[in-house]
Amino acid sequence: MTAFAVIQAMVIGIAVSLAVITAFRKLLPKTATRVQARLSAALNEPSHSAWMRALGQRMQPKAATGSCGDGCGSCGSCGPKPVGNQPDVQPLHFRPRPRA
Amino acid sequence: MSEAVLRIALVGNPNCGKTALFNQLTGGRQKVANYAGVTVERKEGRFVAPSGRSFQLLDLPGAYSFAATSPDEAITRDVCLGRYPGEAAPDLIVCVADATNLRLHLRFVLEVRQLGRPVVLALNMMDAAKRRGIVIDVDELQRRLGVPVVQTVAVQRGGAKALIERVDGDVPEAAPSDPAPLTAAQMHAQVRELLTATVTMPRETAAVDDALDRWALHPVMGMVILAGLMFFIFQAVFSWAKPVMDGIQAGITWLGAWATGFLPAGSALHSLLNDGVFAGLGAVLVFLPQILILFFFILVLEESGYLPRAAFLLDRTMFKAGLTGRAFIPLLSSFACAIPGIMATRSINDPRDRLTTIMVAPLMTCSARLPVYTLLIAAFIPPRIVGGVFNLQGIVLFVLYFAGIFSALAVAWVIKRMRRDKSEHALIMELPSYRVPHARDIALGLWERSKIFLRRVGGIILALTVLLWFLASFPGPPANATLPAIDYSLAGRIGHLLHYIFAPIGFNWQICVALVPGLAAREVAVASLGTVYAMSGGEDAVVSQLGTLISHQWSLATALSLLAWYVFAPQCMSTLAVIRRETNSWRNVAVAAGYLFGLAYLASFATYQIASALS
Repeated sequence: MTAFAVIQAMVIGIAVSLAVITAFRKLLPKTATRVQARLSAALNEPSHSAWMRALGQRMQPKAATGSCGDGCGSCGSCGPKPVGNQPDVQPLHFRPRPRA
Repeated sequence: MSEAVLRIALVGNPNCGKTALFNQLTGGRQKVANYAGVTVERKEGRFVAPSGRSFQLLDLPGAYSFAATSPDEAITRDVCLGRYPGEAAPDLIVCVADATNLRLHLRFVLEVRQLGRPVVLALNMMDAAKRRGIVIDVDELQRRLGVPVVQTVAVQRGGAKALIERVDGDVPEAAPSDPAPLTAAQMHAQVRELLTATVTMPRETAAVDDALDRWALHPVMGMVILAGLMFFIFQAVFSWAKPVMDGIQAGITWLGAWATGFLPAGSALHSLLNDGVFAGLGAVLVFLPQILILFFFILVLEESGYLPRAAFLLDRTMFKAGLTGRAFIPLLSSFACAIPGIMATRSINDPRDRLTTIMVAPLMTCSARLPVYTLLIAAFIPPRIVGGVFNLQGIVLFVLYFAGIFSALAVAWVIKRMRRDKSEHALIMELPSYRVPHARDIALGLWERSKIFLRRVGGIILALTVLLWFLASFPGPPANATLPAIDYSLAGRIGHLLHYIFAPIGFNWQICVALVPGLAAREVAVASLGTVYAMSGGEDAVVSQLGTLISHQWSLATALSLLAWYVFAPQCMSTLAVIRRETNSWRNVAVAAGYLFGLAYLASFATYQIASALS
């Protein structure tokens, strides 16, 4: 295998992997966040080596961090959810009409 | 220890300039327009006063009263009353009022004052008030209301200086509230009293507005003007964009040739860049000028104040079709993208009317359809001049937009017939003053649109193009292959399989391949066609020749069938996701997707069969 073939395979592999991740995150954002959180938790196990734990912490999705009141995340995500940043969802609510 | 951040809420009647003021203070770029109901969400921003003090600013949807009738008004009420989940009541309420229309806006000011919280009244659009000869005795108004009053011009640089100075000082004391809640009649009486004592108005409405409205709101001439405007816009989309599109196309071709020149021809990397990235993205990028021309006109119309007049003109037609007049703005927003359009239905108070509007919003021709339409029109419709003035391609585009509107009205009519609820709702809509659009706002709006488009091209479209290239390249062809390599690939096999379903509507297997990634976003189909044809033909120049290529390979019937498909098909997963979020129901998503795909197939089938029989 020539050097060009190796570099070519690596570039294509990286490009396709990035494309899969981008498409996954854009099209299924909630699932992507869940998968990312699970992966991060799996890597962040106390039994794992330091570099794996560091990687797990870096991979933690933004929405999952800082769930304490002050938003700093130092309490280990045990505090109440931060105020504000509530989704402004106003779904439809149908109420049955009173019978005449 | 740093001082606590003061939380300020901007409230007021719709279209009084809250968002413009928010942008002025925070440096934000939230959408502004000259009609009611643009803001349907709570927006948050920060700004630092010259003293170094930080403020958190909330931009709330416009409300005529705290007796909320629609979901967006309920957000304003709940935030002001401290009932909004997870959010304390604001420390200071800045009530924004249109200085040219105090008769309407002061009523809400009195309601806000009644809350007994610290309030500052910002008299906005003071420049327009002065031009119309309106004189406001600010000191007297301040004395009578018992709250600080400042003058602002939100659309002018430095127009919020007085407001910043006021909020940067001491927090005003809680506004004096009446001991018992005021009745509507008492409130009107107080407003009349305040106006008599503090405001001198030469006339209630602007003379220019009256003169223009005599034509714009005329039952016959108004419709002629509206049709003429729309017709002109679609003519311009085709006529004005050509030179710039040619320039972009030449640039992409040159860049593609330069970038792939370093790589060995026939290598996978060469194919990825040439057939995937440049053929795919290049096919979509060339449509940027047409999208910007369309948005230029939409932004000018939004800023001018003409759009609510159009809503007024079309109210009777919309009502007969089963849509409320309030549906006009959400449907109009859907011309840019169905997602903000569906979200804008929050201004509709009746849940059934809101659901009907959500269901038909995807039928409005969003900007993502434009690359598909213009690609096919440019390839199959000759640029002939009709009647000495009109471009035939522009006429076809106008017809496609009209087909979207007509089908939305027809679907709404069917929903109305199926509904058990036959209640009727009157249209109450404020007609704003006409305004000369600000060049800076238009330029910013176009810049934002360009960024959105380029981000899509560089994000989801690039990602799906690379994936499609991968699926179209692997597995490779067998040793004794006689067909192009793509025929043996995974994408090719999927395309051939789907061809059985789409053959009756005239789609070839290449179109079938493009439709699959095109489910993510409509423009992706154009990029995918670029990639599929580049890989089928293996020609270097395909990047710049997609239109020419399909005009030789497809029949007119196939092209018309694909156009009919794109009028109806919900080829946008984000739209379906927003329908799920706004209706809180998967059933509604299934109904919307089912009827839209069904209509798309039927329309394409009829178009293809009729066009084939005629040709």
